[in-house]
Amino acid sequence: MPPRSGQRPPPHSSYRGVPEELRPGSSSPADAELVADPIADSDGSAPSPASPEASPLPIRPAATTRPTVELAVRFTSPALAARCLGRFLDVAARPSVLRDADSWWVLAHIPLDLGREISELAGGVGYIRSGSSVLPDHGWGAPPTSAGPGAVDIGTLADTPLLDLVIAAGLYQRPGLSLQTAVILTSAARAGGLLQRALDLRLTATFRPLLVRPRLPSPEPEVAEPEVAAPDADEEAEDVAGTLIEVRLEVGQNRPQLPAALLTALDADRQVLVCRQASPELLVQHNRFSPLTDVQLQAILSGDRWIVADPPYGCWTFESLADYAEGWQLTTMQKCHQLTAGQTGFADPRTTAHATLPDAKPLAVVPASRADGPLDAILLDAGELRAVRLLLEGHPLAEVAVLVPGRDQFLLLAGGGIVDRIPVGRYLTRVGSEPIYIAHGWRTEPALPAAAWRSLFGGLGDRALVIEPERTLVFDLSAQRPVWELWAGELPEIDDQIPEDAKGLLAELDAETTPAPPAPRRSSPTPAARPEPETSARRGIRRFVQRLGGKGPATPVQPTWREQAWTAEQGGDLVGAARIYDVHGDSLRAARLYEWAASEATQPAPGSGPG
Amino acid sequence: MADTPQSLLNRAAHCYLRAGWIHEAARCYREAGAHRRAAEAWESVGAIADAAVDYRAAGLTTRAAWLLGHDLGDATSARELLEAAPDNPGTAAPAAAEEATVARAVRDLLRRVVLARCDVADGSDLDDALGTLDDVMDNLEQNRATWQVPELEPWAIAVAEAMQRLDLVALIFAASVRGGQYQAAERWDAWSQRVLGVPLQLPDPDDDEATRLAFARSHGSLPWSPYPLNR
Repeated sequence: MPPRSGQRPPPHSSYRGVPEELRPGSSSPADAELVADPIADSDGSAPSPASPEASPLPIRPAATTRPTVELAVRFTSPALAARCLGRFLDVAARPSVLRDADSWWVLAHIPLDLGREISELAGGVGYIRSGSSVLPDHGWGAPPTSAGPGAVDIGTLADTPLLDLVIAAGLYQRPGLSLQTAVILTSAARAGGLLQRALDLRLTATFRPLLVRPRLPSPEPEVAEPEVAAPDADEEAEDVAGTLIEVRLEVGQNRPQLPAALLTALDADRQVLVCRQASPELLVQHNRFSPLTDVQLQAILSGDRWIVADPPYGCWTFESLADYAEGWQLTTMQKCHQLTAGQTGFADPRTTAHATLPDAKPLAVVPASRADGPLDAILLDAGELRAVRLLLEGHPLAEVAVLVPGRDQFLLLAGGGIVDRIPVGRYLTRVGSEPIYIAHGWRTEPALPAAAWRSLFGGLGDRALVIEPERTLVFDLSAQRPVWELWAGELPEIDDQIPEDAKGLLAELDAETTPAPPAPRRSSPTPAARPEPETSARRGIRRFVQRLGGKGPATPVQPTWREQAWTAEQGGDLVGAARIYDVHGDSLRAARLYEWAASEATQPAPGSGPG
Repeated sequence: MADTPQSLLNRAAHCYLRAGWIHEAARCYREAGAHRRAAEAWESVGAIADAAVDYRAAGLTTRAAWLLGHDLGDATSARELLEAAPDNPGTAAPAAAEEATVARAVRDLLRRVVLARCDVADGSDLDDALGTLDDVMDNLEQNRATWQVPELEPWAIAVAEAMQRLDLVALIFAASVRGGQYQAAERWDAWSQRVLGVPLQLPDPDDDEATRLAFARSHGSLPWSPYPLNR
């Protein structure tokens, strides 16, 4: 490494001089005075020009380090030189490369301090060109202008194309990078297995054949050589050309990047080259980087399409022979998958006018797996009826339960199911939205959907069905009575305690307030034939009299919410009944009704399906 | 708005829950397709096998595998479940790539904890389980995305208890306290009272610099010592 300039940093006062005075070794009397008398200068007195021909000195020379110069940087290692070349390609115009026996030189026209920064970063030694030689640069201050020790004549350096430097620098390896898209070059024999593996991993795989020729990177495209040139070289080039399959792998939706294990395994395989796509015309080996960036490499390698890789693969040019095809297109159907006509013997022979239908399976009732759900109804016989009377007297179930009498069996029902277990009778479960009951803890074999119940026992109307393992019972729901009638009995004889004269008084009041009708009035106070419209007051008095007498219509009683819900349930509006129970806090009955409504809603209405 | 079967079954399940019939509610949730709610209902009532089935149907395979391995002791099914179906983390995915990587790493760690519990249930070699617990302690101390898997600490404690290594339990709790996990000291104290019968004694923050730094980092928790400090 040539020694730096031996000049000391100049003292402060010399900045007052003109640029010519800063050359090393130049000493004029004026300089000697200026340099040797700093104290006098710092007194503030203007420096007296020692020689009459010296012009007034400027305060500080401006921009001595910012002119654009031709900077040459010397490197011993081509890799560092290539990195510097890459930076020069970005910021400077016309970089060029020279070399001599043991070092590489990179030249560029560049602002001086920027160039010095880059050469420091790149690790080279800076030289400034002046005339036909390059002079070593101090690294600070003004550029050197006179030849001194260490100057090198440009004539001794050989001009080399940029690509020679790139080739000499080669590629360096940086492991562990992830890719979203990889281009894999391999022979046709291996490509099939690779595409299969890519399909297994759910990667998007496409492939196309390439025609490749091994060449070193050069900027000139390979043109068809004229016949004047050696034809042997052309045939030779054709001989070494070959084909490869380019498999392009991209990630799908389920991964952010290609699986690293696949790339590692392919890297280790000598017959497979994994590349990243720097541009549609440049493929660089995966995990390998030139000291230049991909963009700069692409700019230098204009012309053909290149594959750049380390040994043992080497560099190639490629051109495409066909379009991309999807990876799964390599799959063909075997003979067994091709369509053929149906085989006879598979269909039933047509013996009658109608098709052969499958045999119907008889419905059986078998034990179910779970027997701990809520209870929906209870089946009683006559002896148990007497026990029910004792059990339900005072029980809250007495308010809601109804009894459906049959010939010798009775059915105890409640809106939303009985849910409380009373220890008499046989427990029953409702199958769905229809009033069909199965013994609790049993189920039908096969299990039937709601539409099946509707059609098997269609048109039940006002009837309830009870399906036991060995028989089916039908009950008429219109004959239902509230269960408290078992013990409540008839109303007692009403003895109205109204005194006789009060009765007569009320009868007179009634007679006075009623207008005289054209038709003869009846003495009986029944409201069956009342020709004139009456006021509500008169009606109220009459009704009061009638109620006292124990005759006439009872007071219209508003139905309770339970009765409303029961009516809704019997009318088929299960969701409405469920809402009423839900609003009033009877959650279990509401839940049962919602469930039955859901099973009804699962099936489409009959007649809406095909056929 | 038509009443679909799903909405009716959901309402039925809700009413069953209010009435206290949890089995029926879970059955209705399962028929309605609300597998996660069904699984939580089964779990609350103790039907662990049904809960595992529904967690699997809901896509929470890690939790299902944990129930199989820890509560039922069925390590074989738990392992098959973890290998067959990857966990679906749901729609709340972080936007940045590094966060996604960290979150995925923590979820993988949780699956390894479940596998460790299966190893203990099998009676097989426990080297991997110990390595997993080391990683859990590391993660709790560095506090890497632990908010995404709140069951990391309790499950690791359960694994250590199943291995009958109460020293590992203490190390895990200590890592939580150092990492500043919320109310880690309280949980440790509760565990200590329940299992060992003695209250927790932690070093005073003024003892040395490392303890003071760790105490300063455990923001959001009450003072370390179960006894009030004189400050």
